Amino acid sequence: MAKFEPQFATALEQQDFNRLNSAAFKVQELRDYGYVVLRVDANTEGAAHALAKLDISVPEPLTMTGSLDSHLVKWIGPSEYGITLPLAQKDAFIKAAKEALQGVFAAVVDNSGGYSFLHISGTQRYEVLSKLALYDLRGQLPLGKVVSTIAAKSGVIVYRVEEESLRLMVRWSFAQHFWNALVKASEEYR
Amino acid sequence: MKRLAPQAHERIDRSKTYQFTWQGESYYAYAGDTLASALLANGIDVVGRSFKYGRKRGILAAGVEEPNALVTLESGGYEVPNARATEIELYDQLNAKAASGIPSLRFDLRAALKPFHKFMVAGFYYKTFKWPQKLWPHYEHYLRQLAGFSEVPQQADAEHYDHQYQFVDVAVVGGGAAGLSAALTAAQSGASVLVIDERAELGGELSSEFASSAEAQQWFSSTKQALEQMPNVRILKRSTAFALHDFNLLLVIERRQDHVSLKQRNEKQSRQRQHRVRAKQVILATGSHERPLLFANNDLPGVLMASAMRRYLNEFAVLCGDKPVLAGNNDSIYALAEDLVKRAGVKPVVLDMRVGYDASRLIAAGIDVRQGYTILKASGSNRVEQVSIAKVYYDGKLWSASAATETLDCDVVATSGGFNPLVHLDCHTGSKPLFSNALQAFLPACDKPARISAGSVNGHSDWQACVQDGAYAAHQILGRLEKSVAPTTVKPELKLLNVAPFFCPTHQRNKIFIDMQNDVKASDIELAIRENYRSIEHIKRYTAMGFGTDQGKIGNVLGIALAAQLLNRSIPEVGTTTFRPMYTPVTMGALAGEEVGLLFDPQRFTPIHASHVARGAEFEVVGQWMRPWYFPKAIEHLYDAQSAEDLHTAVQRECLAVRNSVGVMDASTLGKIDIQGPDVREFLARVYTNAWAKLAPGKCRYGVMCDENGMIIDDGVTACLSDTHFVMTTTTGGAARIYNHLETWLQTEWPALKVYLTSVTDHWSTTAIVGPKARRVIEKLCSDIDFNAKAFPFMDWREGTVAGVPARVMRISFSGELSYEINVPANYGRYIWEQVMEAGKEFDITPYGTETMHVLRAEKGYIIVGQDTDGSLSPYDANMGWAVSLTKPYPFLGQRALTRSDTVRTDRKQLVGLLPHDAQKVLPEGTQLVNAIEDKAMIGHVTSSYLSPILGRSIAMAVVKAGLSRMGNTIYAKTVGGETIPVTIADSVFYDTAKEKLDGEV
Amino acid sequence: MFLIRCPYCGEAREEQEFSYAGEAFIQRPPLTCSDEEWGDYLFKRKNIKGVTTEQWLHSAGCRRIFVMERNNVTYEILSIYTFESKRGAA
Repeated sequence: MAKFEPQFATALEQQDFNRLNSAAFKVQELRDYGYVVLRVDANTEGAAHALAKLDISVPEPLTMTGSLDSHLVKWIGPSEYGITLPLAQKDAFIKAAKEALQGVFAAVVDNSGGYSFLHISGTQRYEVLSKLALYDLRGQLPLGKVVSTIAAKSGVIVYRVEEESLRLMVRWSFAQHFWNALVKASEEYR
Repeated sequence: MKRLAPQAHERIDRSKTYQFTWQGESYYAYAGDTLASALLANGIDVVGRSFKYGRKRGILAAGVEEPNALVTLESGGYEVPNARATEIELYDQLNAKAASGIPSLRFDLRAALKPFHKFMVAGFYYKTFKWPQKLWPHYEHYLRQLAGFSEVPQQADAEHYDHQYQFVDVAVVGGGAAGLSAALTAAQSGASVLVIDERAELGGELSSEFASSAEAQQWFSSTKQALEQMPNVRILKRSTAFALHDFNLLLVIERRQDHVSLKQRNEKQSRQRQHRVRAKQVILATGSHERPLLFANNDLPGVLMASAMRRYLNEFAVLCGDKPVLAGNNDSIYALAEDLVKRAGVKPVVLDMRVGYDASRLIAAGIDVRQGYTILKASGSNRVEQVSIAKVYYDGKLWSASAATETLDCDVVATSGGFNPLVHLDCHTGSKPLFSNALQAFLPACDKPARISAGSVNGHSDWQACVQDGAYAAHQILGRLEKSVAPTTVKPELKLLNVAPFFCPTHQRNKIFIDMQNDVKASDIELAIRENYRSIEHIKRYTAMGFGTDQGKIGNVLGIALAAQLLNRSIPEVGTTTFRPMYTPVTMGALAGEEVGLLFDPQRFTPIHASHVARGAEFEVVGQWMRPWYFPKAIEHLYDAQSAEDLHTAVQRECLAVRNSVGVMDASTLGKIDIQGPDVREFLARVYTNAWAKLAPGKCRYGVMCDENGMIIDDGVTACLSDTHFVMTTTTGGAARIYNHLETWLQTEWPALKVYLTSVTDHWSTTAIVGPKARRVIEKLCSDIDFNAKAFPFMDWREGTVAGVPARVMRISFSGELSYEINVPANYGRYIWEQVMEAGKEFDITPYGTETMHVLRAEKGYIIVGQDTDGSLSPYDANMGWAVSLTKPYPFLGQRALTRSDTVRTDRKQLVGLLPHDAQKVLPEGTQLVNAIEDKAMIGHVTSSYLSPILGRSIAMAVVKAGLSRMGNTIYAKTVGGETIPVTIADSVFYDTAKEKLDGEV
Repeated sequence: MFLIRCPYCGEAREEQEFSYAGEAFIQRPPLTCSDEEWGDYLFKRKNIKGVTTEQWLHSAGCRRIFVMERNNVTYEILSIYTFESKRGAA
C-alpha cells in the first residue's frame, strides 16, 4: 500500500481572494471550522443531562450560545442546532456527543463538508449583501443572532459574533455561484 | 420661443453648455435642461408623429405623463427605445431621434393617407385585418412598423443593472412639499425614512408653481437641508416608485447613470437599480398631474399643459410662446398668467370657462381675461396659430357652447382642465379610487393597512396645506409605529381650485384627442358606446385608450368623463379602468438586475468539478448541477491538427471501458438524507413501498417511493448504519423535493414518529469505481476493508480508510457491473478522485459522464425517475412489483391507491424493452408507438433509447399499453419525421440477464 | 409578495423563504375506504375564494410547517399558528 497524504480542500480555494480584499469589502474563507448538526428536543427524556455534560446550553430562537473557541451553538429550527467548532475538535466532540446522547431521541450529524464558511467584512459589507440577501442584515442582525435565509438564490446561514463582520455559511455546491454573485455585487466598490 | 434671462430658482446651469444631436442635427443647451426643455429652447415644435394618423405632435407636458415626445436615445449597446424627452436629463453629446415618423418627421406616409383617416376609427384593425386569418402575421409586420414607437434595439445592452433590498420604517413616495414635510416629521421621531423622488432634484411643485413664493423657498431649503443631514434618512433621487405590492413591498427604479454622458459612465456601477423596499409604513405624496381642456385639434404642437408651460418657464427659463392663450376651468390658470407677466413680461389672453373668479388684479395689469369662454378649435400648420373661442353656459348638469364668437391669434395655448391625483400606487393592490365632486377628481382610497396619502394627491392645491398634510400623515403613521411624535398636527382644510365639471365641445368632423399616444378621439369613445360597449374596461380595450407607454396618465379621466356623459351615468358609476404596475415603463434590465448570464440560475458544482474541467469534460445541467456529460478525448490528425471526440464516439468508448475494464464516475450529486431515531425503520417502511424491518447494519437496500396516488416519485438506495440510523439517497433532481416531502409527512401526519432528518447532500462526495476491475483499483487504496466478493457482497457497505481518508464504501451498482461507491467528506472529494485515477492508470481507468451512465443502466433496464416515469407509472406499471410489500404492519404511502380500479386496470401503460428490427436504428426518445402500421391510435411512447456498444445494437425502453403481457409482439414506432419503424417488445433487461458480472473479475 | 411571520422563528420573513404546502387539515381516510372516497382525498380540494387554511413550509429558514389562514382575494393574512398549538387546543 502506498503512503497517502490526504489533501484537504475547501469549496472556494480555487478562487482568487485578492479580488475581494479591500477595505470596502473583504471576504475570507475559513478552513479550520467544522459543523455538526445536533437534533434534540431539550425537553425530551435524558436530554438535559446529556446537554449539560456536553456544556451546551440550548439557544432561544434565532440566537446562539457558546463561542467559536469551543463550540458555538446556533438555533436553526425547533430541536435543531448547528454547532460550529474548531475542526481539530470536531471528531472528539461528535464522539462525546454520541456517547452522552446514547439512548436519548437525538441525532448528531457531521455536516462539516456541507458548507463553505465565509467571513465578510469591510465598510460596504451591508451595501453589497443587500443586493443579494432577502433579509435585513444591517438592521436585524445584532451580535449573537443567527438567521437562515436566501441570498443570491442560495440558502445561507448568517450570524454575527463580532461588531465589524458577518459570518455566512453557504452550501458547498452553491458556493461558487455565491462567490460569483459577491464578485459582481461588490464590483463598484473595488 | 426663447430662453429668458436668468430666473430666481431656475435649475439650469448657464455656465455649462452641452452639445446634443436631435434628428442628426447639432444643438446646444444648458446643464440641467431636460431634452424637452432643450428642444423647446431651440424652437423645435414637432417632436413626433402620431400613431395612427401620422399627425404632427409637440411636447404636451413636462414630466412622466408626456404622451407625445417619445425618442430613441443613442445607438448600439446604449440604445434606449421610447424614452420620454420630458424625463431625459441632458448630458453632453447626447444623441436622440424621434421614435416615430415614417420616413421622417417632416413627411409622414400615414399623414399622406388622410383621405382614408375617416375609416380608421376605433376597432379599425379588428374590423379590417380580421380576414383571412392566415395573413395576420403579414399585416402585423407592417402594422408594427407603423406604430409610433422606437425600433427594438438590435444589440445586447452594454450596461448592467442590479437590485437592492431595502428595509425601512417609513417610505415616502414623492419629494414635494407634502413628501418632504412627512419625511421630516417621521425622521424626527427616529424612524428610518426613505424618500423617493423621480426627478434630479427634490421639490416637486415648490420649484415651479411656488417658485415665486419666498416663504415657500425658505421652507424648502431648510427642510431639504435638515433631511440631508439626518443619518436615519436616505434620499433616492431620479427614482420612480413603480409598484406597490401587498405588505408594502414598494418597487423603485433608480436611474443611477442615465444622466451621465456616455463617456463618463462608470462601468462598475449599474446603469439602473431596482430597489425592493419593505416599508413598515408608506406615505404616498405622489402629487397630481394636470389634465387638459378638450377642443378640436387639441393635439397641435404648441398646445400644452398649463403646468408644463409654467415648469418650462420657472425651472428652465424657457418661454413656450410670446402670444399665449391660457384656457382653463379652474383657478390655477390665473397664477400662471401672473408668472408670465412677472417673469417674461408677456401678457396672455385668459379664457375661463367659469364666471365669477375675481381677476381684477390681472385685468388692472392689462390682461385680457374672458370669463365664460372656452376654445372650440385650434388651427395652424406646423404649430398652433389661431384658436376659435366661444361662450359656454352651464345648466347645473351639462355645458353648452355658442357658435364660435371670435378667432384669436396665438403661438401657444396652455390649458388646465383640472388635476388627476396620482392614485396609481394605492390602486396596485386592488383599491378603487373615490371620485370627489368638489375636486372633480379621483382620490386614493388608502383603505389598505400601513399606508396613508398626503398632499396634492389628496386634492390640496397650496403648498402650506401640503406641508401640513404631510406632517399630519406622518403623525398618523408614527402612532402606528409606536414612535414618539411631535405635538399633534391638524388635518388641513382643502382649499379648492373650483374645478368646473367636464366639458367636451361638439366636434363634427374635427378631431378631439383624448389619448394622444394612441390617437384615440372623442368620436372613438362615442363610436364604442354606439356599438354597445358599456363597461369602461371594454371601451378602453376597444378604443385602445390608455394602452400606450403613458398608460393614459393625461387622457384616461377625460375618457371616463366623456363615457359617463354619453352613457348618462355619473363618473363614479362608470369608474376607472384598473391601475396595474408598472406606473411608468421599467427597463427589462432593471427587472432582471444582476440575475442574468451565469447568475440567472445557480449552477451547482461537486467537489470534483475542477478535475472534470481539467480533463476536458463536456457538461450538462441536471437539476442545477453541472454534471460531466462525457469526456471527449482529443483525436490527433495528420499535420498536427486536433479535434475532440463527439458525444457518440466518446460514449461508445466509455461504455466499453466500463463493461470490459473499469470506469469512474462522479456520483456526488445524488441527494443524501441522514435519518436517525428509534422509529427510523417504521418511517422508511411508510415512505418506501418495500420492507425495512429486517435490514441489518452494514446492508443497503433499493427502495421505490410513491405518492399517495401510488405513482413512483423517487427511488434510491438506503444504507443501514445501525438500528436507529440510516442514510437515504435520492435522485439528483429530486433531492430538495423529496426532503420536503418527507418533512411534510413527519410534521403533519406522523408527528409521533421519532425520527430526525438531516440533509447531508453537500457533505459527502461520491466517487464510483465501476467495472470488472473495480476491485483491483480499490484494493490499491484501501487495506482495512476485505473486498472479497463473499466478505463484501453486493448491496453491503463498509466503513474504512480510503487513501488515508475515513470513508463509507458502498457496493451498489447502476450498471450491473462490480461497483464501489466511495463516500468521503466533500473536502477530500477531489483528492479521492485523483487517487482513484492514479490507482486505475494500469487498467486504463476511464472517467465517464451521465450519457454513458444512462446507456449502462438502460442495458440493465434500470429506470430513471422522471425519464422513464412521468408521475403516472405505479411500481407495477414499471414491472417492479418485487419492490412492493403489501404485508407491512403500517401501510406505505400509495398503498391504498394501488388497488384503485384505475390502478389495477390490465391495459395500463407498462414499462417494457423495445428492440428495433433494424439493429442500427436508434429510436428518437418520445416517439409514439402504434399497434399496426396504419394505426393512428397511440399505445405508448419511447422513454429511453440508445445504441448499446456492448450489444452492438439499438435498445429502448418504452411504456406500452398492457406491454408486459405482450412480450415478443411487433409494434411500430412512428417518428416525427414520418418514419414507421417496426420494433419487438422485449424484457427491459438487455444485458447480463444472469447477473454474472456483478462480482467482477474473480 | 407576502411578508410571513414564521411562528417558530418569531419574525416576519419574505415570501421567497417559504413554500406553499397545500390545504391544511385534509382528513386522510382509512385504507378501508371506497375508491371514490380515496379519490376525493387525493384530488378534491375546496378551492375557496376567500378565507383559506393552508400549510406553509419555512423551507429556507427553520424548515417547519405551520398553518396560515389567509384571504386569497384581499391577500390579508388572518392568522398563523403551529400544528402543536392546534393539537394542544383540541
